[in-house]
Amino acid sequence: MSKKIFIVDDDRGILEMLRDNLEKARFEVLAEADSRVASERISSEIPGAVILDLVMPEPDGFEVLKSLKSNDKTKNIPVIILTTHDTKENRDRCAELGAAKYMLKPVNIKKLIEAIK
Amino acid sequence: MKIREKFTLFSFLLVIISIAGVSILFYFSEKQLLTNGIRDKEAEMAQTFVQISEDALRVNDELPVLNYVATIRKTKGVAYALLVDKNNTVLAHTDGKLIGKKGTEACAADGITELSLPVMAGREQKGTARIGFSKSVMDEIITASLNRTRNRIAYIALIILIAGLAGAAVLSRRMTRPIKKLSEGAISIGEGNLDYRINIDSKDEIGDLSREFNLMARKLQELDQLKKDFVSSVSHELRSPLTAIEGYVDYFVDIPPEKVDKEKWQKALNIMKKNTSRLNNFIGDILDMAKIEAAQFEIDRTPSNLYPVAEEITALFEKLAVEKKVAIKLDIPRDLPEVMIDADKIKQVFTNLVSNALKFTPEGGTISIQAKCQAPSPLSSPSRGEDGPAGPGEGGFLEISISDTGIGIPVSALEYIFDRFRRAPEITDRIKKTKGTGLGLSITKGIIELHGGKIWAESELNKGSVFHFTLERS
Repeated sequence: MSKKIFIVDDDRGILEMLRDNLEKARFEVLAEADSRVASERISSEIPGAVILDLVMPEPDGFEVLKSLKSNDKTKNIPVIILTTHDTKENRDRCAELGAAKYMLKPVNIKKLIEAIK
Repeated sequence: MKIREKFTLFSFLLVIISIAGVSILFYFSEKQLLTNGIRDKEAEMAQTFVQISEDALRVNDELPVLNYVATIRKTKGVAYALLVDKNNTVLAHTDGKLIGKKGTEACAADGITELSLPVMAGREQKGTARIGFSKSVMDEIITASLNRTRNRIAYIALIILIAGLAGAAVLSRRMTRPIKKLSEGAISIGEGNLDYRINIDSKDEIGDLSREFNLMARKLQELDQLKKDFVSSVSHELRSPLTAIEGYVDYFVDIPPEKVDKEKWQKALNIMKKNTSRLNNFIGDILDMAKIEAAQFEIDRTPSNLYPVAEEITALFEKLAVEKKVAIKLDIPRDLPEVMIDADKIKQVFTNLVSNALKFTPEGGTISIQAKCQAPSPLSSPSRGEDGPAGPGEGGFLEISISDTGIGIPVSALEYIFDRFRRAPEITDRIKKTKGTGLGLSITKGIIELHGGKIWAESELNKGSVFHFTLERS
């Protein structure tokens, strides 16, 4: 499995924190705060996994997930949803859209790394 | 008892009472009519008897009288008929044996009505014609006839009654069906199906009621959504900064201090600081909101000049404004009358409004802060007397306006921008990054209202918005 991880989150603090932690765990990290260009970059980078926030300005995480799963190049990349929203509705919707895992913020870094592996 | 049953019963009773009333009226008038008809016939018969008798006496031929008497003897109800001359000698009688004898006294027997008429020749009375009618026979005739009428009435009444009952049943079903629909709707909404809508579009009161009902359901739904938004906003605003902070703590926790990368350490500290103050602000806002809602938000008002307050806030935002290339103009005259304010809280108001304006105003825009005296009006009295001593002066209010050349607020959103956690979705979609808790404007409104003032907004899309508020003069 590629050690390349792509993070999409509009909160730059969280973005940097995830980047530093994952780099410390020897992953190659790519990050994007602007959800509008995220799926395009992912389809050119083809990372081993995507960490995706849900609450973002248009397009939100659901839409990014949808576009990833509808693109043949990116549809097999596992997507980990990382969000503050702990509702069954969101979990179900993400599972339906093909997310590999649904994790809550604040996240335990060890568990996140386990999930990526 | 159900409304439908009540209504049916009521209609049914109404029909019965109406039919009974009409029938009784009809019955008695029919009886009167019959009685009158029989009287007329009797009188006519007597008249004919007199006529025939007069003719007979004039020509001295009693035969026609005898024939007539023989005829009326067979008529039902006639008890007797006789003609006597002026000496009361019977000339003709239904009982032939009595001819030639003295006439009996009038109204001889009980139960007989007698008609007695003089028989004249010119001006001279020649005799008397008398007919006795049997009352019981007459009553029998009337009763028989009335019985027939009564049967007919009963028959018609029965038909009307059945029709009325059927009509009442149909009508009450039609009237109660929407009520049933309403009650089903209420049950469904009560069970939590807030998107349930009642489908009645009649123009009557029930239609009005169901429209009101649907409106209520929609409001409940909005309230429910607001509640969900509240939970999700709070959880987002608490969890996001915590995620960054905790994540960096985890990052450094297992690195020996001497091996910590200086640059990374500095970056992490900045991010953690930013996020702790974000948390801090949010918790402050939440607590302020809770205090305002619980009426425990305390303000300490003193007569103050507004200029330095506004100036301090403008200075606070200057750096950010320069970065964003937005001009902030402070247009408040220095010699404005003093206002009764809690300066710290009013600074909070200015901070919220100016930071909002800055957030939504693009490069090259202008934010301007103005203030003017409102004419004192006896109607706009500063209701909240307990907040501080009433000013000795002329009263009245200052009106402060903060205008921007930002993206504007849609008219549909103007009514709820002061509601907590509500941010106009149209706006957040268009501006990429609008950080905010959605509490600022509702806290601002709370503070202004605690000061006895009012706050409102005007806006034009893509032109800008103006927020006005009033403060009581000291």
